[in-house]
Amino acid sequence: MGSRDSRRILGPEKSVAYSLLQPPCQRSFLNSTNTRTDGRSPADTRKHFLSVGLISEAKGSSYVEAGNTKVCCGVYGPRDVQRGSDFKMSCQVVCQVKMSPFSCPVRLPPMSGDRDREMSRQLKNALESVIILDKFPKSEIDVYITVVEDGGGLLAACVTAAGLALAHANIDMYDIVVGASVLYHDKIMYVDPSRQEEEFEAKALRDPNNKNEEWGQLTVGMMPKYASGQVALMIQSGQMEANNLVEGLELATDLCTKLYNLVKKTLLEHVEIILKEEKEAIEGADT
Amino acid sequence: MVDINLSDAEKCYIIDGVKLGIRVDGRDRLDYRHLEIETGLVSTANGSARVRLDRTDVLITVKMEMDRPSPDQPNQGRLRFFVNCSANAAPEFEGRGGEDLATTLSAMMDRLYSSPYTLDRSCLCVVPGKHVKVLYVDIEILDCAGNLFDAVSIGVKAALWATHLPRIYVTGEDGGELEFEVSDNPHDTERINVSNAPILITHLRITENLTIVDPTPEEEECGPVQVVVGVTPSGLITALQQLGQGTFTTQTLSAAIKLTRELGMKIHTHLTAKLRQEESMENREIRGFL
Amino acid sequence: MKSGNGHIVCVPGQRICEAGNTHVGGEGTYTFNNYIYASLPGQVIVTQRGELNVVKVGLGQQGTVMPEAGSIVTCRVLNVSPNLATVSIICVGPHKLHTPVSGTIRKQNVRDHQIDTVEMYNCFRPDDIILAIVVSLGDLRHYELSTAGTELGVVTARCEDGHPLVPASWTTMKCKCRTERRKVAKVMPPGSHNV
Repeated sequence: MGSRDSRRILGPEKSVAYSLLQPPCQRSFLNSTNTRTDGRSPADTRKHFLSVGLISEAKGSSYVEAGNTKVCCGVYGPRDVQRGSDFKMSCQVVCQVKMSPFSCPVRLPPMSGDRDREMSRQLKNALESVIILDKFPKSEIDVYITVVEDGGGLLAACVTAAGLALAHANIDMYDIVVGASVLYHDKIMYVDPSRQEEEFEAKALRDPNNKNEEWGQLTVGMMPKYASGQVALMIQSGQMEANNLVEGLELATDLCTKLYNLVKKTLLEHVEIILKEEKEAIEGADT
Repeated sequence: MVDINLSDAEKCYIIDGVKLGIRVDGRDRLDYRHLEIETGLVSTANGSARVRLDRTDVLITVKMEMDRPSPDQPNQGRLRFFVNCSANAAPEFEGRGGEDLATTLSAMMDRLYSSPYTLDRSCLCVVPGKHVKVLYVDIEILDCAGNLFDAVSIGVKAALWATHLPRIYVTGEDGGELEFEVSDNPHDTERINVSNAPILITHLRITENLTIVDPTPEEEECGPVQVVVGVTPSGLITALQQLGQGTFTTQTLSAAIKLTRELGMKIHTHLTAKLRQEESMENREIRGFL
Repeated sequence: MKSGNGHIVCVPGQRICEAGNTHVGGEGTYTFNNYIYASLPGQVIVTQRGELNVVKVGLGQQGTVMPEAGSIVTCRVLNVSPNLATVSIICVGPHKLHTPVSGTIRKQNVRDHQIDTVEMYNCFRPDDIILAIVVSLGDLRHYELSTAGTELGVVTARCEDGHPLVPASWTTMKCKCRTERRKVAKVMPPGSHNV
């Protein structure tokens, strides 16, 4: 238990989410027609929606929707490093991922939890190899992410959102970074898993009668075009055979390439709009 | 982990050596340094181990306490990792300096043991839904000369192996409260099954597509990006994380994952054999920090 | 990528052209393995500089720049003390900073002659807009700036009553009611001090 949060009225300390009282539902991943619960085949991705310029106050911002996962990201800076942090000649990236209390079926406490901090650290690690740090000496770039809803593949969505927002903020990067996630269960790779699938996996794990030895989830953040594809972030949990993990990595790479085209399209549309506005402004000034 | 500043020429010497297959200290790309393990040094803990990997020095202790189980896992005990980076190891660790490394390390250990397959937590249950055992694994970094993750994970496995938990008997019930008796016979203890406990193997990307294991601090200075892979004795990959500033190609990652499997199984066999050998020694003298 | 309007647009990581004797990368690009890549989203602009073609990527005036040693910056004076003036840097060259950063001008960096007789309060007043050059990246909080040079110093200012001041000489500025002392800049036509 950390220090008590004195600024808010907290729920009773021992309250638990009511969903835990339910017995774990024993649904299988695939139904009879070999489709997932949301109608996709294992290799299909969810529908993605990307946009930029959501937050007017930030230097750059983005909004990413992957299925039910909704995150928005704001980028501030580069600016002076904040008081209290160490002096470094190179640029520092500050990442903060904040899950809103309502983003999961179980209510989350308003103070940032372990998962938030863990994701922030992983994201920072990835972004440090994406941003051209030498271009911004002695400064700090802040990346804030708010998770509106966690519908599975959260870290991957955060990576994509951060990459898009950095590009929108005109911060020099080696390449656009995109994230993808793959779930391995019962000898099948499920690309871009939803929260139901992630949760089902977690519940099946705790079941002591579960004899399934191999399972796992893998999140990859990569730059598909830089030096013919570089992985900036790779995280795996679970237990998998090395060969299956390699296969999962390849699937995630493919998904990244697909997403890359979408991110590129979004950015080019944004560029066209700005150029058009500029042209109109010049023409307006002439007449 | 004192600050090391290498000149470009020195870095070039190390990197070119690796390209030719020879490292500065004469090792191959996939060779480990000399490793020393001793268990049972700390008498106040239920289990302890000290690992020295060249100059890297870590002390791991396991202490058991009782707690209520978490509501979603009523019949499973818990395993919690705490890392303390002593300022003795490096002046930078003074105050909050080592916090970053400590949280990364403990998060990595958490993920390594997150799967129930790696360590059966149901044997840590005393009364389902009411009382479970919690194992606090405290990791003390005494000296840090490269490859901390591997040394810590080997130490944790050794410490868990050497852990003896006193048996706890439920003797009765009084007004809804259970009564316990803790056996004080030093031989009436439970062991933890570590036959599936994983270890970590760190691959450092030293130049474009080449990785090395067990890097020295000088080598770590040449390539800041590494991938830490957890592997069980049966060769399953249990956790993987990329650390540091820099990127990998997918081919390099795939090669590292496959190498981990081979190397990990080999290390596990050696480690178990050595731990058995140590245990079978009669009247073993604890060398400790002499 | 060609867009419908005839200009070339790109996103970060896109390869633009080969780097060599004829083409070099400018703002918004980086060079890797002898190729120029874009590091920003925007329009590709090629400008001639002597024999070289400089390849730039940008979207209007929105590029992200940070002050570096040698860049000309526009600042607002925040505070003047006997030894130094604290300023807030608002523009680097032609680029506006999204978040201003702070800088300091020391007494000995105000002008390059008669350094020992400089009176800070006769050179700058709070709220003046000045041009300065970055001497070094300075310490954790501040950039180290200098106004030594004819084209550097106060550009616009207001008198104590708030009337706009006009330069009268190298050391004085006038308004309709009084004359005040400043380190006045000889403002050059735009673009000429970037060379």
